[in-house]
Amino acid sequence: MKRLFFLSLFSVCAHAQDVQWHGYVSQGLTQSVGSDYITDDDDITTDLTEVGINGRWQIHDQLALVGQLNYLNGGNRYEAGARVDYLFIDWAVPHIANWSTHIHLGRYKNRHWLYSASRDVPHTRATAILPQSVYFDGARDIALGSDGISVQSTHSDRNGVWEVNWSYGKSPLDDHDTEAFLGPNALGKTEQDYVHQFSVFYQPPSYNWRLGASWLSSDFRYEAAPREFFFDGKSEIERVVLSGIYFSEFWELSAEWVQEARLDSGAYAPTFATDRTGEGGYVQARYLFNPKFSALLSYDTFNLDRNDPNGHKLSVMSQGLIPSYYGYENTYAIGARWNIAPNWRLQAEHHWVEGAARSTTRIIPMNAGGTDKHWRMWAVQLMYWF
Amino acid sequence: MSRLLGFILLQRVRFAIGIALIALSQLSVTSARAAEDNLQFVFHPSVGKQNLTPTEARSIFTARQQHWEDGNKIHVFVLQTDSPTHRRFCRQMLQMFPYQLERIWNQIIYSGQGDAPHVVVSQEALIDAVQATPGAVGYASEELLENRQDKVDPQ
Repeated sequence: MKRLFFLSLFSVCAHAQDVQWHGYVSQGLTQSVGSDYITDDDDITTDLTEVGINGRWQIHDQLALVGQLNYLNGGNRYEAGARVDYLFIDWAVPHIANWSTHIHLGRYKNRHWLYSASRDVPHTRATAILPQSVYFDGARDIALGSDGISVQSTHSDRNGVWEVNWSYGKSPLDDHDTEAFLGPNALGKTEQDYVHQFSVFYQPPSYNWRLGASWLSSDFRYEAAPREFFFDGKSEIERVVLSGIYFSEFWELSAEWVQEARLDSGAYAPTFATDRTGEGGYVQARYLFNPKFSALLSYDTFNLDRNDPNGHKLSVMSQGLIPSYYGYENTYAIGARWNIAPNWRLQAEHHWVEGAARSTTRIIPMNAGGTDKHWRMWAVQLMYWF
Repeated sequence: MSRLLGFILLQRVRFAIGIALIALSQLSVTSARAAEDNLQFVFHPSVGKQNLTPTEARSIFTARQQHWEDGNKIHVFVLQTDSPTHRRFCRQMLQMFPYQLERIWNQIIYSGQGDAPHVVVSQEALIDAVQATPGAVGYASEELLENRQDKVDPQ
């Protein structure tokens, strides 16, 4: 029995070398003024908490099991709670024609946009509140990753690096997502049929640039309960994103442009249908004074319908119940970062916003009073990672 | 009396300036030596490599290539990211900015894309760790490698 115990202990110790653990803890202060986007009644809150722990177990040279569990609280921006961020088998396929390929099976991460793979990890992103044109908090849970398969292939040679990503899966949705889409009175169930994504990135030999393009297609379905106000419905979304980032010794410049076509049918009435294409993007520049201090400037813009840039049609269609500024959102932001010590950082930011197109998931008359035409928000975050 | 005090003060100032100049010249000699001290890749003998091309080096240290050609796992060893040698390695051997490399690692570590590099506190510890880990690669200064009594082969 004793021998068996020592053998087991030895086995655990031997395998400990094949296991890696990392994590992060972050706490902040935040406020939205003139909007209930983060806090109600212009309150200052500590609802800016992000905690995560991840592990990687190298089962075999080509096979690993990886996962990350996190707890997030972002005020009104999304539902607070713990979640499995990712959990998948990482299979490193043998090199084919100098292409290095990884296949991920399980809950994989969306790697198709610049910050999508680690948007919940405070020290990997530029600001606590990401540019909403591309990283809309209202749809964050369905843009983080999905349950299915993801394939990532990389080819490097003297001409640069090519990276090709493909993924197919579906995101698990719950009552909170249904509420975000249709409101608290919806009694039915929302499901994502699938999300299909493809992206290509290129980095020249200088490594100073990284340019990419991605495509997303996804369908959502609403199954109404036997007795309720809503009807069965469907949403079809197609999204194209162009990404670019530039690195220099003292400057870092990143930009992304998004076009999102959305076709909604049913739900509010059997014959209800809307078809619109939103468009927007952001540019952000970071200046590095030295390895410890840097400052950020950013501009983000989004139009709910590219054919209605001032939101006039939106307002007319709602008979004036939805103000026209819900048709667009323009944000200027400044930020500062201080790397206090290795693995410790203090980050602050302030955003000035005109418009409310990304202030709520559901732009309906009932929600149209939550945000002024001009509003602002700020956040200060202290973070540690290991 | 005041002239004597003035003379003594002047001599002391001259002495201080002299010391400062000597110190400055020593500093410049040290920094010149540091600049001349090139870095080399170090490998575990099982890897069977003598050097890396710039493309290979970038692929491996940015975790885009996580396995050697024979299929064995690559174990990357680096110094702490704020160490001058690591910063010099980024510029000299990878032709990247240190913050750029750190950014890539953070995205990889916190989205499950691969192993984090093993961080060690000194070049001596790095060489020892590389020697003890099959499939390992790291870097160290030529001078240190040459001076090591155990004659670690940097090639």
